[in-house]
Amino acid sequence: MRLKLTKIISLLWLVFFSQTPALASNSNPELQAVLRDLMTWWPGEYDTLAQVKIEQQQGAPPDGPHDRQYRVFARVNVPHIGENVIYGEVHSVNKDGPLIKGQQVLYIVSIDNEQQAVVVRGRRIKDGALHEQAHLYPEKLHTLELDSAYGGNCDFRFRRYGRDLRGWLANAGQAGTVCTMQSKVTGQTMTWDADWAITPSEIWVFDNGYLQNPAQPEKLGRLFAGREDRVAERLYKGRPFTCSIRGIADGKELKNSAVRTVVLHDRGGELNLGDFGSAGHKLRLLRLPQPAPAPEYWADVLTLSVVADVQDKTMMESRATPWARTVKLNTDTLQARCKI
Amino acid sequence: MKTILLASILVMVQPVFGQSVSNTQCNLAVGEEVFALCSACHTRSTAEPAREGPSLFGVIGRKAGSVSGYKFSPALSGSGWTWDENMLNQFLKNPRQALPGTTMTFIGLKSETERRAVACYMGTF
Repeated sequence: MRLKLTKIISLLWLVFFSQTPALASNSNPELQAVLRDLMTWWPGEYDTLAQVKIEQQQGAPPDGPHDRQYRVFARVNVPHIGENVIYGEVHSVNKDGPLIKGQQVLYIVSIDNEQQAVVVRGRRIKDGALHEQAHLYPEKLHTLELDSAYGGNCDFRFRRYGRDLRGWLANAGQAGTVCTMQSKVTGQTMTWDADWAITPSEIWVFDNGYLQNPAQPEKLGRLFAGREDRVAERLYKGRPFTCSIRGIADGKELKNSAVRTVVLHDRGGELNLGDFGSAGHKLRLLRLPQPAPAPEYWADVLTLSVVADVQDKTMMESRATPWARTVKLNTDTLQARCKI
Repeated sequence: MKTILLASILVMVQPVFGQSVSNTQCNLAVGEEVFALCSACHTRSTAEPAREGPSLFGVIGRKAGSVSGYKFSPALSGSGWTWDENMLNQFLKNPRQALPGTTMTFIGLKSETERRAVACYMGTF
């Protein structure tokens, strides 16, 4: 009898201790801290140029090199939609590149005590073309609406994993780590397998979409968006530098050459130099992780360079320490100075 | 000797024969099945409202990036391409590598059989 009681007590302790860590690591105060950090770290300008360059130098993953993308995330004041809301849009290539349709999204962030997670509901906006760069135009925010034709009801569930905040996609209110949705337009069933990691300086995006074959509903379907090798896209967060550029000739400032001032982020911010007599060239500010001073230690290097559009060839370059607040470049035709 | 001769003739003839088959034979069933991937973003007619991508009605023979009312990426509209089955075959293998700067997020089709079939199927509308 005594032995049986001891066994029952041991079992109860085992059950208690096996559940305690999960509860403790996602308590409401901790989720409040996750929400605070998410809303602080996430907003910003991001570029994947560093990933593209590293893959060019060190080798590409199995599915081939990543494409360059620019993404911006900004906290927006849209009380008609939610309290903690981030607007995001994606451009192909760089900041001036074309907007990718269907990727203008409002991320509605809240604490879900039942799921013990900070839930991020990404919802496509209605009339995306009318709301490009909505975060820069308060008048556009009033008319922001979620797209009712969007069939997704997926949530990212973010929790803290060491330093990082990590979120897996799941059907709203359900367990699991994938989200299945039916398109309201085509009726097709798609499954999204996605996981994002957010740090103060980078976002890693893994986002695979599968289209279900109606004849085989038990299977995931065919990959139509994302990557088979499941290598995450690395978005590097840029710091905004104010850059002044002036045209020169023979070491002297050109007559009628106004100083051009632009804001460039340091993860691949670019300015076309056509106005400075250098058509086909651009000025680029880039903080790039490099195997320096020794291959086993990587460190960022900040460069300001003139790059030819053809083959992205660097023509002139000046370097600075990664956290330098000023970087300058003088060429035969221009003087550029960027400072933060 | 006769066998070697016959084999040599077959080796010489096969590529030509194979090419003529792939250019003329159209597997519409496979093409239609593969097109399900495209139809998440593209319609086959102009009667339906446009989705994320432009309508593919009449795409074969059309200048790339020329559908009125649709905002194409500068990369596509400036490509100078005209869509035919061979061009579609090349593009659909890996759209973002074939045309850096495209805004099409489709991952591509590794199978040439599928690419040929879907390109051929697109010629039917």
